[in-house]
Amino acid sequence: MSDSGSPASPLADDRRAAIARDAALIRRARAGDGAAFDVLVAAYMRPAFQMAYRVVGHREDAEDLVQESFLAAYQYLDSFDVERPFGPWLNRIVLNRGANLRRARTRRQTEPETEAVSTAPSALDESTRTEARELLTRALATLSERQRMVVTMFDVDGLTSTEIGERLELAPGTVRWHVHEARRVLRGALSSYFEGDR
Amino acid sequence: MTRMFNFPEPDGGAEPARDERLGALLRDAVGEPAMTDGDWSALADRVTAAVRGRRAMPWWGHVGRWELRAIPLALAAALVGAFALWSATGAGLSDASLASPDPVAAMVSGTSSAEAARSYAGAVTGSSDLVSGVRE
Repeated sequence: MSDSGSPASPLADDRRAAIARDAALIRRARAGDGAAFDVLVAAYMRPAFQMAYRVVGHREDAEDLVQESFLAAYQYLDSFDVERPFGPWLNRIVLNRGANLRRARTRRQTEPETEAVSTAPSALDESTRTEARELLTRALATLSERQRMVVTMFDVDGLTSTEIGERLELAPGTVRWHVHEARRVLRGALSSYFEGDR
Repeated sequence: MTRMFNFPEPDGGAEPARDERLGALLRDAVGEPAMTDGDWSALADRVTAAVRGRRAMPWWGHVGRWELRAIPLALAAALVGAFALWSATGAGLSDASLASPDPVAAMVSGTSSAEAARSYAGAVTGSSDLVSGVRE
């Protein structure tokens, strides 16, 4: 089921190299080398932001969440097992703290951000796009949080099932199943837009 | 740790094809933030500065973080302590004990020992019956 890589695959080698590199950085950071943790921040900030944005749905909140998560990671660095990958551990912090943040705050926005880059088909006029957006937003709300994250990471962020699996600590096959199920629900909600594809 | 579940593999375990149309509509719905290189750089600076601030905080910095809560707590504890001390002083050093006569001084001044004992016991216990059987 898992295609995260057999021991001899290049992917597994890359993963082991990343774990070894991060382990060295974490040991240096624990010893008080601030620059070492800065390297970790630079390496993991973008995926952490992507995850944070998917959880809280607002740019400023996502930036706050990223900062808070790195601070927590730094604070608990001594408890981190350096034999394990740093990314999923950080992602778990982002997810947990993001869930707390979302519960604690009233939702600041439900509309897409004004600076959002719209790549919706140009053939759709504004009213049709607004209608599609509303249908999709409602359909997304019916998905479980995991399926919502998986399908947006796959279809919006363009990550592979293996990459999503590494970030969410899921088997790639499980990710593909979530993508399949989420798409089924979303396409059902947007059936009028997908009629031509059937 | 990767969690394994027995989900049925759709499409025989192959990577699903990209759905550009759904992706575009999703992107439109969930609002992809446009982050420039400058934005990433600013975020990195902000995070590293926050971590550096946490790292550089001396012990009195941690004390400072707690002072807003610690000062009222200390004041409340001091008030409670003062009240407890005042109450204990009022109850423990009663009028009887403060006014208890000195039996030795009474005997020296010529009072009988029984009378002195009765006077002392009465002052302490509120009853002179305790010494009613004392023999001279």
